[in-house]
Amino acid sequence: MTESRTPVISVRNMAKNYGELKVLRKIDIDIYKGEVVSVIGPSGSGKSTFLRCLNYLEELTSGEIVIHDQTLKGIDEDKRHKKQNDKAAREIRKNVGMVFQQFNLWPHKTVLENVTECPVQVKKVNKEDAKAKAMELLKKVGMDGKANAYPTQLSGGQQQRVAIARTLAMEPEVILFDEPTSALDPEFVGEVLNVMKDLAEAGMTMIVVTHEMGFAAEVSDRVCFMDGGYVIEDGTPEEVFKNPKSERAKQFFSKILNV
Amino acid sequence: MSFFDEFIHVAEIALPLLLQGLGATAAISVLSIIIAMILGSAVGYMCLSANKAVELIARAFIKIFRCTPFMVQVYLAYYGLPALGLNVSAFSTGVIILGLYTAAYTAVILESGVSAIPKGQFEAAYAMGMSRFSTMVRIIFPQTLKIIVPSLTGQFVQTVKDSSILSIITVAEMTMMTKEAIGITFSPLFVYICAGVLYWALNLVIEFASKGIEKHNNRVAI
Repeated sequence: MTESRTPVISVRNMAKNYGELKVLRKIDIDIYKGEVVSVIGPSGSGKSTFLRCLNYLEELTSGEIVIHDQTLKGIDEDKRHKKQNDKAAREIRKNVGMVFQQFNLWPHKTVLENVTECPVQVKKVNKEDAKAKAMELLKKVGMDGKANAYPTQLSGGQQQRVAIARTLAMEPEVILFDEPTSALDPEFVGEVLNVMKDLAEAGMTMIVVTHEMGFAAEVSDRVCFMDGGYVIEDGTPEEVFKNPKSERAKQFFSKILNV
Repeated sequence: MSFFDEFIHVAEIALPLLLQGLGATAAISVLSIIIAMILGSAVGYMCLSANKAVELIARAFIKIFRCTPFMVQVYLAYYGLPALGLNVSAFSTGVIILGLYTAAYTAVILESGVSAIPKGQFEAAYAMGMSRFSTMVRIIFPQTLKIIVPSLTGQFVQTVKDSSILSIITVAEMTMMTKEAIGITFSPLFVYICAGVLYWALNLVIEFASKGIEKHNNRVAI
């Protein structure tokens, strides 16, 4: 049923090794426009590495990733891919934003400066326009009151909402979320998930590595369960949570879902 | 004449000469520090380059200037530059060599400062499409500077002290003028006391400035 659409991100045969350690063995996946895909699975299953390969924070060892007409290729096949990858990554990063577990806001810049930095520096938007846009985005995530604060003056949840606004300022087509709520105090998880829910409803294409099963079940169109460097379940939340095909997924859910 | 009267008498003769030397010492130090900041940043940046050849050049520079005595470097510059056909004054030779020497240390301090910045700071910038160069200049170096202010201060205080070695190539800085004042007064002890106090005062200025910068930085906790 999805064959007629062209995927925004297409991953073929992707593998990633750290020396002897095979973190991703063989990943094949297509992500379509407007989809919210949650990637779940045990620690060490390769979820974060998978996500980080998509915007080339990690080099892939073999296989390829196609985003728009840009291709990232495995460097084990040909060392020359490295240069081409660097070039492709620059284009890909214009369309693919990322939100980190540790927020990674820049501490020497105010909230507003964090959000305007890249539109001004990378996209060459003029400062006034960038500011206006940033205030609009900060309002959207409920942080417009803290525009002149520094990141260290904010709670984790507030920092993560600013980080989301910072990513949105680049008007990405896809946003990668790398365990966006894992570093938060429990009481701040909700506010970040709510912002993400709003984004999902607005039609943003999102790939979310998460341990929040509630969010994965409620908000995602698709859930991918990863283990041992493979995607072993890929379907609607209903299919994956209620009727997992693999023993490994059944085992995993039985441990965490009845909490 | 009492001990104190004698000191006053010597100081009256020596101080005008020493203050003249102090001016030169301050000028040499400031110019060398400016060279060191610019060149040291460039060399520090090269050390972090992904290009092995570029990194190697930077490391060679650091090794050469850190692992030979400053006095040898001063003599080499003094006799070497004219041999290369560059007829520069002793003052300029002194500024250049002290600038290069300090740059090597500045580069190392900068590099160690950069290594203290969490990886996520780089990744956030790269993921947002920033180039390596802008990431360094706009995101990483400003944070690094805050960390390295105390080490840089130590290095620059050292630069002021090292400038005294330039007296060996006839630069009319304070140590050179001290010797001249001794030649007139025949009172090395008193003249060196005056010179010591003046060096100390000059470095106190640097230390106070540094404390001021630290205080300013700490208004925004990082």
